[in-house]
Amino acid sequence: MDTLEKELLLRDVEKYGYHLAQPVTANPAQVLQRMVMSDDGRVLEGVPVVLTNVLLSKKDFDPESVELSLPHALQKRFRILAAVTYLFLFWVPESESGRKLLYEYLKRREPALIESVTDKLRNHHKVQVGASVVLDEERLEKTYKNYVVEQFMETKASFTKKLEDQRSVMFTGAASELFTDKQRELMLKVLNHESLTKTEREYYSRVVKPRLKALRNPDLQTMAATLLGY
Amino acid sequence: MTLYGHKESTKDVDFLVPDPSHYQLLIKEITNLGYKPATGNGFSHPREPWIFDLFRGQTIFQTGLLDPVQEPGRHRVIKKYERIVLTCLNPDDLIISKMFRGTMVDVQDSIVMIRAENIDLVELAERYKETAGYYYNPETCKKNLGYLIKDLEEQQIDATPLREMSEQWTP
Repeated sequence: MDTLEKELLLRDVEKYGYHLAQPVTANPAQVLQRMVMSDDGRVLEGVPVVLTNVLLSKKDFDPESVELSLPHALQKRFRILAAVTYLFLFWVPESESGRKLLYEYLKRREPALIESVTDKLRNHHKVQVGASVVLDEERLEKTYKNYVVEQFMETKASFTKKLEDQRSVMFTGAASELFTDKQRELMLKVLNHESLTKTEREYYSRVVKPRLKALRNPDLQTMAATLLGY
Repeated sequence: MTLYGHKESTKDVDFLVPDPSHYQLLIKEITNLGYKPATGNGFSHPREPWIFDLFRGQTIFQTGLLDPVQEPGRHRVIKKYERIVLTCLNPDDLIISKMFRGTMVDVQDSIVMIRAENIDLVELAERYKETAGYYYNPETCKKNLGYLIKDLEEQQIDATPLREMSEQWTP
């Protein structure tokens, strides 16, 4: 059983209450360091994912200190994977500060590396990361999109839904202060262009519509704003 | 080799310019001075016999150097001008970049460097393997190292560290 399969097994058994694996460290720099020291392609493909999450959550992260903590021959591997991360971060909205931090670090350490990694990914579709380990562009991209880009979109979608739900609750509350259940039901019918009975039409014109017109009165709105202070 | 004083003259001069923005600036300046593109990365002046090969970044010929060449300790300073610092690759990186190409002249130049600079072959072996790990075709690096070991041994130079590393190495 290779290391990764063993790790996955440990995680699976942990789900069922058998805690064999204790986290060694929660320090992101040390997690990245351990990942870069692995020669397993599947672990190395995850470095841009982890580095992105660290950059987005930890504003004082220092990539240079991670690089310099690595064995000499693997420092270049970290720089290459940082350049891959820099290129992939363009898919992640609101990641400007992370991109800037990586750009400045790479410009200081190896100014032509972004250019060289771009060329390798674009023209050769693979990148050598030392110890004869070669990472495939398609796999790197797929892993990144699965673990970062899609999750980011899901988080964003769930946030938007939450916001919509919250707005809906607030709207119902505000409408209930001014209109009865029956009147709100009638307004929705009108909004959706549903057919109204003669009684409903008359009731809408006589009671609901004048109240709506009053709500649109700018002076009334200004008075409400002045009294409430917002 | 010439700058190190191990060769009397040269017809080609290879320059590595680590920063792409400096490279652009240099190309602009030498073009203004009348240099024209020659073969590959080369530039030459119509009235001069030399070809200057200008490499961009950390890659010389096809060898990506292991460490940023501009870092202290990774080069030897030849001369500091007002706005340019002229440096030489360290002997070990020079040998590695030559041996990754591996022509007969490169093998002979490497042997001259090993002798003249008293290179530690244990360190060279380790660095050679580490640098090859980033090369697109490490098998060629191993094959070329075999030529160097053979020629070193023919010249009665103890190449044991290189041979031992090579025998244990599966690129």
